[in-house]
Amino acid sequence: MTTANVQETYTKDQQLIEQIRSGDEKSMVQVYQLHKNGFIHWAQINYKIDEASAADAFQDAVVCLYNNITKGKLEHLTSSLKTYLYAIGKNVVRKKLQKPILFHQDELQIVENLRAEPVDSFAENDRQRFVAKLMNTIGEPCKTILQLFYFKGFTMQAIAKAMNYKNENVAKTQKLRCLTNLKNMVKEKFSGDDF
Amino acid sequence: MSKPGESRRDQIDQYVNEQMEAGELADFEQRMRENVALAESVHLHRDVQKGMEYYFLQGLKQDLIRSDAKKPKSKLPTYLAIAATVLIMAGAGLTYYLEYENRSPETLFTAYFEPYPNIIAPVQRSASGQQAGEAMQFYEAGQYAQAITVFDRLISQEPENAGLTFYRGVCYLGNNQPEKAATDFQTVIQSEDNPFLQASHWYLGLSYLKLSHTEEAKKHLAKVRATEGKLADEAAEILSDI
Repeated sequence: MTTANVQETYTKDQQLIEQIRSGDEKSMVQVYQLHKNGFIHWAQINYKIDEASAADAFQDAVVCLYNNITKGKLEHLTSSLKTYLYAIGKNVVRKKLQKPILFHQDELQIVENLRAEPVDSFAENDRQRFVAKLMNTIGEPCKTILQLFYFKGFTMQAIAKAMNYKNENVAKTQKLRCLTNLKNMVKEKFSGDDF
Repeated sequence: MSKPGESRRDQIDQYVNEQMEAGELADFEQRMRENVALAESVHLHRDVQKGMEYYFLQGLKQDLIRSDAKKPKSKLPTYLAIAATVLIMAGAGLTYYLEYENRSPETLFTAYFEPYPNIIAPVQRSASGQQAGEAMQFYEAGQYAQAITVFDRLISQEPENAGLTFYRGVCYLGNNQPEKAATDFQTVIQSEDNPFLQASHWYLGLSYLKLSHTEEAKKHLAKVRATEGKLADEAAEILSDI
């Protein structure tokens, strides 16, 4: 690969990172589709796993990448996006399928500094898993408001605009009501448990 | 001026999200050690936030899985490989059929249709507000026929409410009544100033796909493509496939 090609790849990768950071989930799907087949083929050959397991690991890797970017843990790439995805994907395969896997130095640096694990392990205890289940039942507009605020980092003003509310105070009141309801349901379920 | 409790809530939020300044942090952690209730509030807030994050990340993973299903073109090589084998026995007509099947308006509709998120806030305490809440509950549960019955009643009271007409249109589409859906979306797009304009052109395009009125579908999807966001990208994908 020539220096010009490397530079072009870096610029494109960095653009994708910026788009994901701005909340553009379409770019995340684009990254996934761009590297999915390559990763599955590579993982099947190197780790002797079936296609479905390789695809599952790669989906987790892309979700981790998204999380690292939106949480501000990954701002500037020091390798190609593909290197990041493969390093995270390898670590997911290692943890999920208990495979003994060796990492190169640059890959080690990536998995040590970023979150690189199966999506299932993002929930650390029963209370967190219960909250995730509750999210399926709380309905709208709570689900969208909480998503915009806690997951996408929208300001109250932006939420008011997105939800067609009169002003940010209405959005703030609604968010507080949704969060309080959620907490009350959790407290009711886990009252007496030691956390 | 902060309301009572607001300052404590903000502090918990800042602490959990690691946004507290160093001086304040030490003081807050000391208070947590001395005050069990405060410590539990912090732990609860952290668990709720992490649980929500886990839920939304699972949702993103589902989006990736769905994106595989939404790629009719990517299935083409497999179809063609099968077709090539069958061709020897059955002749050239099958290739055309399989390719057409892959990109047919009906297939595209199935690949791209999903109900619009509920952005109507059920905060009103009025009778009509409660009925709207009831309609949206049916809507979210995918019980479109029941939702349509409630929407019919509400729209007779508020014919100018674009949101009600829009969601009834989505219900018609989910209930396999694309002609009635198209009529509702046509009504919504009459007004240029409503938050459902882009989405109405999108669903109108999908309604026409379902009805196999491809040229009409293209017209509305092109309007969506000219805007921004997820629907614009998906409209561009469909237009390249038709």
